[in-house]
Amino acid sequence: MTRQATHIAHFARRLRFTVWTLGLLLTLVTVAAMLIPFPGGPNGAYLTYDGLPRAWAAPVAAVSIGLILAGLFELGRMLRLVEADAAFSPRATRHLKHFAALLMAAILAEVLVPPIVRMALHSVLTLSLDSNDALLLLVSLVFFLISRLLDAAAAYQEDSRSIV
Amino acid sequence: MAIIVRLDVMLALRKVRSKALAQHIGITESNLSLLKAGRVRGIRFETLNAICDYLACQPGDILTFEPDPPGGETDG
Repeated sequence: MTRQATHIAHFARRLRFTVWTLGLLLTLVTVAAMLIPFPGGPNGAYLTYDGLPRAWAAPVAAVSIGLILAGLFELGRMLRLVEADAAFSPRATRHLKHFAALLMAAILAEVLVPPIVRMALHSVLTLSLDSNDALLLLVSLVFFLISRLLDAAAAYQEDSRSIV
Repeated sequence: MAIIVRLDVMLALRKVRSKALAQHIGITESNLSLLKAGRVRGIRFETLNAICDYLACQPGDILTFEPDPPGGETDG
């Protein structure tokens, strides 16, 4: 492994631990918000879903966080392959595509599910998309592009290997 | 293939083992074996330079060009 590859592997390792930590924190906060409905002060975890009833907010949050956690899991698997100097392997590309797809699904769930529930409950359809959601949608599309670039890089690597 | 690798001939002429050459030029024996068999897409100038240096020969002693026979491409 070259010096540059070693640096990349170390970075991927640190990033993977960050991903796992983030996933753990997300899980803890979501579970806390579901189990403790009213913390009784400014400190605590709250479920905020655009005025949805709590009975609906909790499952909607669970779906959204579940998708994000699945995405983080895929990202972690991809980073493990980067650590093993297999960044351009088909498996790494597949994990990145899964991460991008799950991230997009999580954002779409956050954007679309609350309005659908509100429409079912109150027969009123109000759709809102804030800048964070729009930016994350764009980022997930960029991840799809990066996965295509990884496919191309894998072809170049294969070419390079057959030149002695 | 029009480019023929004659490395095995040069190794025999110079009485050099593949292992010694591979160690000198810094590639694996398996890659050298692939090169000898002509089963590579290309050869780096760096590798060619090291081979010529070790075997005291010219690139033309290792690589030769043989034109395909007329109509040979349509047979496949």
